[in-house]
Amino acid sequence: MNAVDGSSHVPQDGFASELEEELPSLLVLVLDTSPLGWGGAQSAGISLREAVASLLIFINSHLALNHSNEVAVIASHPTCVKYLYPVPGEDYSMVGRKSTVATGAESSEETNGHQSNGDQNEIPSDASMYRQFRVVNESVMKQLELLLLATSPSDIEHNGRMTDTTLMSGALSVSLAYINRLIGGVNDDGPKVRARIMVVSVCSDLSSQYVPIMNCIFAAQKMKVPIDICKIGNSTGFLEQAADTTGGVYMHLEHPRGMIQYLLTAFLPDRVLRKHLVLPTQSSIDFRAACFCHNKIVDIGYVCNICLSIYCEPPADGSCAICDTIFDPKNLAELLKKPVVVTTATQKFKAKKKKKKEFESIPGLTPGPS
Amino acid sequence: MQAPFSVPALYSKKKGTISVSSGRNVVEWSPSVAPLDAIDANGGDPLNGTVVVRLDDIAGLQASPATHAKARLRITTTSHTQFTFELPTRANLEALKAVLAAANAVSSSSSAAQSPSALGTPVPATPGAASRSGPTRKLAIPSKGLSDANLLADKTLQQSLMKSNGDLQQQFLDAVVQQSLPSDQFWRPRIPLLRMHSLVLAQRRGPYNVLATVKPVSTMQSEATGGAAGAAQVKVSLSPDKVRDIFAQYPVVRRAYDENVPPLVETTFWSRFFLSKLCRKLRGEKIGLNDAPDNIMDKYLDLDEYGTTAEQRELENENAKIMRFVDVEANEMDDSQRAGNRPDITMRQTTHKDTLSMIRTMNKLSQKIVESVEGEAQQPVEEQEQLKQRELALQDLEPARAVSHIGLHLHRSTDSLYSSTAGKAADALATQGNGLGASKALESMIDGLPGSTGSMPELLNSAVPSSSTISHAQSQVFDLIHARRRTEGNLRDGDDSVTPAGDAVTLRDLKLSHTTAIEFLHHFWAALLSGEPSRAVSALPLLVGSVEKSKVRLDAIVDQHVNQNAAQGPTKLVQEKKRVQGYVQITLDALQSATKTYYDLVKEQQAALTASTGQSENSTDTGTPH
Repeated sequence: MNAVDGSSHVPQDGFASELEEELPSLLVLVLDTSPLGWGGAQSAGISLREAVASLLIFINSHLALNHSNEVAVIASHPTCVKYLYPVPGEDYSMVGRKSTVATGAESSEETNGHQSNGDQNEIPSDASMYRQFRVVNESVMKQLELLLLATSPSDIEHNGRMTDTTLMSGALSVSLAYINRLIGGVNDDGPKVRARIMVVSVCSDLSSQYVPIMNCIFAAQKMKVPIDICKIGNSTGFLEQAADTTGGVYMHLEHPRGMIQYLLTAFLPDRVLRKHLVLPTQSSIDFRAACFCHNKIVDIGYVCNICLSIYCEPPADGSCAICDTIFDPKNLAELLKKPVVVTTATQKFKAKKKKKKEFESIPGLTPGPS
Repeated sequence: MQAPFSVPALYSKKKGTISVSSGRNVVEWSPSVAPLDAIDANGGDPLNGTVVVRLDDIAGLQASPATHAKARLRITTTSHTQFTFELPTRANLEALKAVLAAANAVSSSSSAAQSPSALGTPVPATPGAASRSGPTRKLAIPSKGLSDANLLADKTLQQSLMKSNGDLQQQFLDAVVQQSLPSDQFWRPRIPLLRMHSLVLAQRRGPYNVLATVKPVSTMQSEATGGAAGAAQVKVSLSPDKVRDIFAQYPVVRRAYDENVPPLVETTFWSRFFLSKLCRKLRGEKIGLNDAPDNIMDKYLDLDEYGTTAEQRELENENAKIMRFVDVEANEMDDSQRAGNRPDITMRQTTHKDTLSMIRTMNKLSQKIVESVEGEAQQPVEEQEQLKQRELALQDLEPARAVSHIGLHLHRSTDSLYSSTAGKAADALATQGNGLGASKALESMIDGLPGSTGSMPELLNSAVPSSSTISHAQSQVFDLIHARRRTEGNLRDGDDSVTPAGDAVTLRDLKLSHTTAIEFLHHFWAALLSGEPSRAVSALPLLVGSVEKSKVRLDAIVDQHVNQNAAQGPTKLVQEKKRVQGYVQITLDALQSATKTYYDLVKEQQAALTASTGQSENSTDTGTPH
């Protein structure tokens, strides 16, 4: 208790767990729909069709676990971020009924006016499927198809070659905002649902989105939302860090064709169950960051001590670009010095001879705290 | 206060006088003839060229040696400026030296006396302390100072820190004693630890209510507090500090003591005091009827803790009585809605007098203790007065002042850094492009979707692959789970069910050598990357040697472990060696890369040197690299 710092007041063990068992669970699925990525995945063994089918089965099982479980699907496209389910503006209580109700004038007025724009492309509905499943499946397929149809080849090309980007940071932000809205107020009875995010990613690392992705990761950590990553293709350092920081599962699929198996064993347990399970997540994590000036990935670099922004080399104008602190030129010069291991002996002696003995210190006369 | 001392002196070739003020805290040099437009770069007054140095700021004094022709004095301040004065005669120099030394001695003794000053007693300032304090804060700063040099030189502090931290002591023994790392270098990166430790040691207990801590201990098993007359023996331990604190906090006890002790013996006084009703009243306990009457102590029962009677208090307060109509504090408290119409508990006539006195005593005591805590949140009296005035002043009739908002300027230059479009060009451009054009890729994606072909059950069925794929996927998942369980099990439970028991000794030795190796690596890299030739010559060869020795040590420990289990066959030995080496593989790699970097640099720079000078001046070479 005599310690000067406050470390004895910080509780060392974890905080008490809340009664989470009774709350329903919300799953937000972020699907990466970058065409180049899926082209690569195709060569690895899985096509978009099979992947979407696996995901639909996964979503259905999630909904089946608890009657009040909820789900949301967000597509992360190179040009935009789009809700595949629930689509804003659609009234899901009415979907499916219009095919059986006669299109009389009265009944169509009774029904909610936002009805469908896609009547022509109606997927033949299977009346024997559980309604909740059917609604989600149909919505996801329809919206995904619309999204892909709306993309023109020029959107995803840059200088004649396809770009491997996807708006992952935007998708994560959108999903976090959705979760925040659904969780409800923090000051009344507490959160109404427990949320988690699952990302299916096929692209490689996006170093230009390092800062937004890190911000999303920290926000998810604060909200206690685990981010699971299902990775097909190259490994991404940022998403590994996301899973590790938020307590999620990172799985790099070696056999992408068996995606359904991965999903149902590794990714299905929700937050409450995970406390009691050993998670099959990858242990070795690539903690490299991207520098703020060139968006290059660095593992050894320079850090501003005020705002903690990362640089690959000391900034040329001597000040931090983010927080505008001016660095001490002496310190910067020291950082840039090259290591020296070999010197000549003569330099040392010459320096000594030049120093003329003008003054000698008076012992005992130097004032100061004694 | 001494007479001001002045002596003629030259400063930057100008004639003038050095004078030390009578308060002995300022040294000033003023020119005899005021220069017209002197701009003094060293901080002197630009108008008339005076140079003023406070005694507190002087960090060093140097004088030219006695054999030198000219008598010069150089004063170095804490802000690293130097003033050089030339004095006409050596006698002057000696006199000035004497004066400054005396002034310095006084000031340093006074600063040393101030830091361990007494705990919260409002006893007047200790004699001999120079009056430099005033309303300044006196924090618990250790007397020896907290600068880096002081901390490094303070061996006792280092030893006490090591005693309190066993790990640190181990590291010290290993690195400094066994491996001959200079102790200076060992402590240099640990200065924050030293600083914190010295602050912890310098903490003092604040003022507290002394009477509450004096607990009479009874030697018999009957009641603990004194109160029973007769046979019970009660022990009370009192130290002079406690006595002083009791006198300070309860002046009535002091008054009793002063009036009674010459006839009474001191021990009798204290024993009677602690058994008396007076003591119980001051503690705040109720005075029952079973307490023994004590004719001396009871005289003081009627006085309040300051020793004044009720009548005296009345007389004092009479002049301070405020008319109820204008008594702001009383009217604020007199709100009938706050707690009903019944007066506050302190205002009732039916409250027991003792309760009231106890409340009042405790409040007054706490207030006194808080006020006597040094420094912290004390507002000087003028500030308090000003605050009161500001609160009383009527501000409603002032003209309405426009609210001036603080403007926030958005710095938009970072938008380019954060936008995702900025890096699109830099992002992976289809380097492993599968040759498909963009439109084709899109087409293939859309084809897959069942909007046009197939129905939902068909689609969902297509998700299930062959059973071999499924088993491959499952085995990957389970492998990960097993690997995770092995590592996490150790972290969570703490009991190593996986580590073989025979490794314990080896692990301990490895840990120790690892810590030392890391220590040396720290110093090695610091010296190497600092780029200073002096460090390269002096420290670096030793550090490289230590780094290599660390590697040898680690290898030796691994070999020792393997030889212990030499009973098994050779293949098993190799396996065992690999396994144990796996514990410290990372450390070995780090040591390897350090030595490699060093020798590569040596080769490179030697080559450059020979190329540039054409001769081999490698007398500082540390031997042939291998």
